[in-house]
Amino acid sequence: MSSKYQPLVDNLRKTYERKTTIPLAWRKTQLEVLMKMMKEREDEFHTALQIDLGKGFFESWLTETSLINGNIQYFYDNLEKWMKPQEVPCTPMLLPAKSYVIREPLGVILVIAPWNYPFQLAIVPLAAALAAGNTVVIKPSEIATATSKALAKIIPEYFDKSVVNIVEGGVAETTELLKCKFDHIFFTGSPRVGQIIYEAAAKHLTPVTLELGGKSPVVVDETADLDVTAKRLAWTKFMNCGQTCVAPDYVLCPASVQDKLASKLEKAIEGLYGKNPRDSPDFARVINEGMGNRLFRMVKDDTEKGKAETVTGGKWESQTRYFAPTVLKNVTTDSAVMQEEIFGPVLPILPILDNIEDAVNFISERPKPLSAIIFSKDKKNQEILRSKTSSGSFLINDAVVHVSNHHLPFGGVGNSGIGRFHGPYSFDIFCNLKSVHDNPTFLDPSLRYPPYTKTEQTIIKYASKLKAPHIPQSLVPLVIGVVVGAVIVGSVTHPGGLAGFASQLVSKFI
Amino acid sequence: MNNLSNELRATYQSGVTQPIEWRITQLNALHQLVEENKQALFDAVKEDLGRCAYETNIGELMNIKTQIKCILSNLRHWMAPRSVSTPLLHGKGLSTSHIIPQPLGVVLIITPWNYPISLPLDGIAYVIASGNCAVVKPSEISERCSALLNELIPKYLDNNCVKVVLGGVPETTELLKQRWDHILYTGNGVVGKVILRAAAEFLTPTTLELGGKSPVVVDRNVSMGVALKRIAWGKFLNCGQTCIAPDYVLVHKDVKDEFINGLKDTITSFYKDPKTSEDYGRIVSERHAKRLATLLDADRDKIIYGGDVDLKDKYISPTLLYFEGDAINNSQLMHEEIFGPILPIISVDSLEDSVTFINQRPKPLALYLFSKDDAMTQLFISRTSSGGLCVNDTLCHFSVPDLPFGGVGDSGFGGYHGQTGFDRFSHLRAILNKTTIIDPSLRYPPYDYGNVKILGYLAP
Repeated sequence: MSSKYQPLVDNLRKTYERKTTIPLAWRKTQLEVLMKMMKEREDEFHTALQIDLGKGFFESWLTETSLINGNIQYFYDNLEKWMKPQEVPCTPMLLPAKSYVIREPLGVILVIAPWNYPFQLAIVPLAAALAAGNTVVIKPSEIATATSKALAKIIPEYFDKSVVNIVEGGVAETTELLKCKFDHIFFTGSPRVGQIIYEAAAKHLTPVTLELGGKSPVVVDETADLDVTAKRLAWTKFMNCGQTCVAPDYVLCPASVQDKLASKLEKAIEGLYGKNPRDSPDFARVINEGMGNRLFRMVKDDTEKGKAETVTGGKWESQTRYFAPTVLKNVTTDSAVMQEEIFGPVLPILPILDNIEDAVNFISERPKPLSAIIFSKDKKNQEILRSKTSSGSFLINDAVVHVSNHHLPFGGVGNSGIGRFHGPYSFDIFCNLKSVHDNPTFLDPSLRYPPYTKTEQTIIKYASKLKAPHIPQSLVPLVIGVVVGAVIVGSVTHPGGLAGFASQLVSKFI
Repeated sequence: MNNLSNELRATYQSGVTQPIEWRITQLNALHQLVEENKQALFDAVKEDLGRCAYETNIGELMNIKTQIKCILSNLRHWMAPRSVSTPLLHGKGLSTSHIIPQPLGVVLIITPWNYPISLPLDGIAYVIASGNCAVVKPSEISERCSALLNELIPKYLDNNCVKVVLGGVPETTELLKQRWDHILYTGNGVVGKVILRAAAEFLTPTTLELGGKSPVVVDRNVSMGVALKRIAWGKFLNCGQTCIAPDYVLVHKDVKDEFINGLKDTITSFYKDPKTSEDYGRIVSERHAKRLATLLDADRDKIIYGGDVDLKDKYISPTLLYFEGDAINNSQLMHEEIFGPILPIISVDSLEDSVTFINQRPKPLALYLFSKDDAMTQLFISRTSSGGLCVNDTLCHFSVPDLPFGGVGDSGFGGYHGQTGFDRFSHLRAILNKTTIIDPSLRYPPYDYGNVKILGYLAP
């Protein structure tokens, strides 16, 4: 099963095997080079995003460049700390050994990036993988053609092929790449392709991080502040023209709330993009004609069959790839828009919520989503939805924005994905967490070794019953001092002397 | 068995496994299972593996109890919401951000025959600690132990939430056709790939505890007496049938003779006559013993100690072989995990050479270095990669509950034990609770490009 990319991957593995990627200085240099690249070539990347997704500068900056820069800086600032050995308490029976975990590189990482945040979801994993001391292959999405070309042109100007390589292409090239053995595959995309990647990785026992998708539900109850709800819902839904993995996919609300919410959403959209969103520099475009046609067909089918009613939007212009921000109401569960992840600027409202348990059941009957959202002021409802459903993330009174918090792990569960990313999680997925046990040689009790005498068997029998606590390594000398001191004091003050004190201890602890 | 995972998922969805009280009750019951049935467990292991009670006690029962103790003393803390900071832009001080660990649902645990008590129970402990239901499929090769677990587990643990499935390949294949929320597999790489392919069908995350050849390196600057005992102990415990057993030794040429002679004496001091010693075990089956005998026959001329085989008794004596120069590369012993009481010893010119030797081969589950030189030790640790590593000892990192136990590369992925184990079978859910009191307009379109600088300060 030889691949045409084998020499490329072998070259990257040689760099790793030479151990040049291990020192902190090397890794910091890579991150500095990345920062330099971002500073010098930002405009070219923004232009590519404009071509691919019709994204204006501000949104590109907010959702791509600023996140990339923030992540690189975060890795840079924390790298030295993360690389330090992490001490853990040692089992009392194994003291005075030292136990710690060190994070070491895995080898060659494959990053397969999607088309919706084609820049961010290539560069942030690249930065994390380099910070963890690995070499990297990036396969950008062939659907975001301008970004793919920009990455293929710009990255080799900053990184040698023996450290980072770009492989452009589609299914054929990805299949060819997957014949090679990688030490970790980071994939962002759909669950269907995620399965294919996972199966290919299985052939080489390669661990994977799969950032997938699904239908992220939004629950709006009677207590929600509808003005704030409408604004936040509209912005998080329609940014990047709805093409965000954690975007609100559909809304569940009580019948009594639907019309008010729908009308506020309409107003909010106008507030964000003006009367004609086509003319707003802040409203993006659908990635290509095929995706737009899919969305248009779904909405048309549903509205014609009485499974949805248009509140606003619905217009699709294939030449400019403009799809109007669309809100649908009275949507039925068997509608086309409810059968797959929408991934576009269409927001269905289902007015079927009688109580919060309805939402719990509706969501739990479906695959676990990447994100679940509730707009509500009722703490009880918030807690019920949180505790009785499962999703990658859970947001109260907002959506999407948690992706910019480094301290919150980002990822899915079940069908929405495997593995966690962002902040220290990004570092860990590209490391081998090596457990180290360091046992001094001055203490070596014979009862550990054969022949196992009857006396030793008795000692072990009682020792195993001891309720000894876990003690951190740094406190061991202090603890030993305290214990010895306690034994001396106990023996001196006990009427039976050492023997009396010892038997009292035995009866207490065994 | 057809709908076992669905059946357990319904139980899980009823919420019964969520409260800490249920988990503590189950963990205490597991502890009791071990405490109250020691003799039966010793006898079952003796029958399946010929392993003596002392080794079963220190190698299996005590380990399970240590893990359970670690879980019980930390569970409340591990289960609690983990607060993290919220960026200014999202209302630091008014909004809150947490990570809340939640159970995954139903976890399938598939375990091997070599530690037929501790591996199933260890897995169950962490799986139920994280609030999941569990199905455990213990090995059909360690028949007596699996039958005993099948009898004891329903007696002690919640029957609706923890189930045992006995059987071999057909039963495992049936189980793998079902959707699980996580699969914990301990075994070999060939089957590991089969498990992973089945998991891919349902996008099920997996933890694979595999194997490989775990090297021991003996430096010339070494505490020889201690090294000899700890290496012999780690190798011949359970008759070498341990996933992290020292597989082969790379010894510095300057101490080679001292090492070899010392090792012979140490083995003799442990077992005198291994065939009749109560402390020396047996190979699990005649078939496995035959495999080891075949390996020995191919390199009979390299045997320097032991080499006795009695297939009917499933007996292979503690055996040492010595390889000079490149001879080791032609030996079948270097092409598969030995998993038996056969120890090839290879002489190397320097610690550097041993690093090169190790790095030319798949990453092992464990690596052992015996050396008194701190600087060389640190260099060795940073220049090699393995699941775990012991300095001046063997095997023990497995029993430190706060050390994650697992492999890397061909030796597996995903570690468990300690908090890593709890997190492994949980879903770490990110929770953002956003204030509605403030809602800065500079976030929303129409975008004022002048706000880029301000946002840059507020955003992380």
